[in-house]
Amino acid sequence: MITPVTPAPRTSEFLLEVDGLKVSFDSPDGKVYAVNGVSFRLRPGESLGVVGESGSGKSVTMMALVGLLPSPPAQIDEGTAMLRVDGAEQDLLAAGKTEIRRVRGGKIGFVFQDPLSALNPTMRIGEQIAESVRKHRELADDAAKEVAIELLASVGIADPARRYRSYPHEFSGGMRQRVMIAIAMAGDPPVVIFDEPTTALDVTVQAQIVELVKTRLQDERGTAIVWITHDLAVVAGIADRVAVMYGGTVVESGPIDEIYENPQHPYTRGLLAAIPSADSDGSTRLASIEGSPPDLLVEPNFCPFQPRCAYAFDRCIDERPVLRDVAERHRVACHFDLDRGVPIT
Amino acid sequence: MKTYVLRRTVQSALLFVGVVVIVFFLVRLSGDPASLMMPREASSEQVQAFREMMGFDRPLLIQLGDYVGSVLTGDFGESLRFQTDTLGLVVQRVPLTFTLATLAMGAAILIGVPLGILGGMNAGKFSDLMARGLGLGGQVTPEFWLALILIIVFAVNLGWFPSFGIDGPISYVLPAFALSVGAMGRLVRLTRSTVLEVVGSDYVRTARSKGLSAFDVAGRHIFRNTAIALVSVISVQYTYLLGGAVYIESIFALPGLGSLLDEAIRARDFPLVQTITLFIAAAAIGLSLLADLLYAWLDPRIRLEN
Amino acid sequence: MTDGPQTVEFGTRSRGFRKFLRLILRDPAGLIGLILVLSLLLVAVFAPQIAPHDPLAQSLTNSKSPPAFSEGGTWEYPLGTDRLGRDVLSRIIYGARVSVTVGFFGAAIAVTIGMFVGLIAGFVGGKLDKALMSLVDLVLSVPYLIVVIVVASVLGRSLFNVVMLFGVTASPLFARTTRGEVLRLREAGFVSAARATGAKLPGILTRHIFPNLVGPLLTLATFEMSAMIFYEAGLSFLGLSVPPNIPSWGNMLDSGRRSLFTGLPWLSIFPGLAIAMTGLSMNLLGDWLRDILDPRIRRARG
Repeated sequence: MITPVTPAPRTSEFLLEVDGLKVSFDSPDGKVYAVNGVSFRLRPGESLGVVGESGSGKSVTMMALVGLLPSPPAQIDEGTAMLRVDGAEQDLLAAGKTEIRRVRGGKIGFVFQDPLSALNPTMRIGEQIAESVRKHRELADDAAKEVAIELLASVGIADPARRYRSYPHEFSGGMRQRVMIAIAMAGDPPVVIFDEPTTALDVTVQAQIVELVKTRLQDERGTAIVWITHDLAVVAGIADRVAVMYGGTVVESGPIDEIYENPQHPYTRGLLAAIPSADSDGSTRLASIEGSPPDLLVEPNFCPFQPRCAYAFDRCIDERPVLRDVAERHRVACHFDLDRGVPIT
Repeated sequence: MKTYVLRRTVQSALLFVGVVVIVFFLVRLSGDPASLMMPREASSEQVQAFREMMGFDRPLLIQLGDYVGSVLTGDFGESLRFQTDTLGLVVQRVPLTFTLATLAMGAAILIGVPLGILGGMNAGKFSDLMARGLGLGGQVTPEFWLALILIIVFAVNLGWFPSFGIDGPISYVLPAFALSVGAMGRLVRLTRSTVLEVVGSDYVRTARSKGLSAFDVAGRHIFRNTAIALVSVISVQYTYLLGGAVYIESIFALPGLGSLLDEAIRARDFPLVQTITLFIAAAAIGLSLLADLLYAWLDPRIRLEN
Repeated sequence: MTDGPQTVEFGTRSRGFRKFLRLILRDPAGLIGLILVLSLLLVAVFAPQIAPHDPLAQSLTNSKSPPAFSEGGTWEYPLGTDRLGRDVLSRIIYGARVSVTVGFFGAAIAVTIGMFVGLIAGFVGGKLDKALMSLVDLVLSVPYLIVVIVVASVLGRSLFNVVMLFGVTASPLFARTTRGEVLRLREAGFVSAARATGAKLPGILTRHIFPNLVGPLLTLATFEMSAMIFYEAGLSFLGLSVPPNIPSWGNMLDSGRRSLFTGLPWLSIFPGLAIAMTGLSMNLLGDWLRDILDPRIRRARG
């Protein structure tokens, strides 16, 4: 077993604190180790970018928090996820069905990747927002409809009262994603998780959505944000802090400037090197590191990045590195000290 | 929507004309319709006379044009056996088959759809296994065999139901049940896979992420979209039942379209066979048109299309 | 994630076989289906060796003998005898020959015609494609049972006619599947990529198209075999399939029907069980094949 992270301060300044989360799936080919001891912390109003290639476990981690993984085949093997809202503290991973249902939408909102398939094709847009409003604000139908129309207006849908009655296929991709954001805002949650929300959209629309999230959620409501992406460039525009994931663990996390200027993990360095110059369109993906992603069918008691790592040595195969502090809130999981060019002792 | 309705209706009409052509050729597959329709013991002179009377000696294309033309003007020809208009004979038999098939469909839906939903919502669990087992069982049970077994058990041995003929509503119980099992089995499996697809869809995940109760997620998102998808499935099953009615009606001696087809074939009354075939095909085409229009109306993606 | 077209990999033969073994052992339902289908084949092929009696031998002294396990029955005739004293078990064993012949050759003919038409439609495209597919839709718009009943009644009772009938009337299904698969591969850029590297049509067919057709067509063929056996029994039951002197499950049910009220229920029960078991085995096998072979399903799961 891996003991993660340095102990968190007892004074719980954190809104969400995930510790040692492990998730696996049963598959015909054997057990798939999807998430292997993920830890991260989120302050109220903070925005965290979670970066990693597909299969790095970033979406699975977030889905596991609110019980949205289909089980079977998924199972949560270990970990805690403390959520602290209004002075009350609860462990999401230990919460019962009713409890977790109150968390969804009410305390943690979700915005998914493909807004066309994420909206019910046979239900009016407004109704899809209103049903969440009714649930979390305990309003009657008419009042909920009013709120839904206000929400539509606030995410920038023109003529919201009329558009309330539209169906998803009548909207453009960007408008649909605005609707998804309105749905996430319906329960006024202190945290909203964005799962690659702009991947399916074109670049100009991407920028508009990012702007919308910044003004409506971060600035006006002080909502904390988790932004999952495989695009480091997008993260720079929205996140205060970054967690880089690889092979089902966080390999490095820290303030955005710190990560950009002083990356301490070979993988993070690779990612940053793969980003094109500042003024290109920024849509380059994280594919340019040599080698292939890790085999999740093998129990990871070694460093998952080791096969692709230029600095790997014996210990990387024998022992899995845990997160260690390198600077103020900057942590890295690597047996090698990149700055000094020597293994950690 | 308007253009869609128009397009589908024209398509169905064309399909029907195509079916008329097919039915024309089906009866001529053996090469010599005259000897096909005459009794085996008929002399060659009699056959020749019959051939001329029916116009089978004319060029094929002329016969085809003649047949298509008269069908489209409502003249379906005369039955050889009953010496009367085939359409009249067919129309007379429709209500029974319609009642029988509708009862069977109703039973299949009442049993099959809930079982399919139960299985789909509990995929991999015991109730799913049970639902799938029952579905597969229904699917592989030949209706003509089940009909015999039902007669042996419930009519001959127990005497609860009549074994043939129509004597009040109770006479429909055994035939409708025998007819329904195949459709029931297929409905279980098709409903189950539809539910599975809907349950695994992104929008149901979104619904869950809103914190809706399982009841709301099922009622507002899963069932509604499943029901819409089932419209066309059910119409296809209904057409299957029209076929199965041939067995069931002849086993239970019920005067419907199916037993009429059986009688017509045994009597080599091919003009009547043709008309029955056309009628059943028309019903199938009409049903599928109806299902498509209903689907279009239920699904806003088609309803609101310009 | 959508990562291009998927080619069914059969790999090296020995590895492929071991993989097959691993896949079938993991799915008990598929395994049962496979064993039952193989048993049916064996029974059909070795009917003369297996059957305890001549299926046509009449014996008036032993007529209407009930099955061995019921009162008055004898193990001489495990499933009883019919009104002419013919052994029901032996007739069921021989009846498997008709069913297997119809299912196997019917499906083989349907696959051949359907694949040919589907390939032409998919590759030539344009007006020819439209015409062929309209024809397919047309044939499929008439309830299948009605089509086979009418055609069988026109053609007359013979095994050859029945096999041809099912082979031809089921071919539109295979044409549609083949065409769909060809279009999918074309759309994925497979064919044009192969053309660009200088591959000729035969090479494209054998290297890219056929390997991808194996899964969907084999799966469909398994289900269709089961359907053909079903429909053949139905036609026999209506007196429209093989001549009455050939033992077939449907013919046997037909005579069972004639004895409904004379207390010979075993004449109806056992042939029907044989049909149901055959349908069950092929459906189980087909489900399993679809799970492991159909690239669309695999992609949806992956």
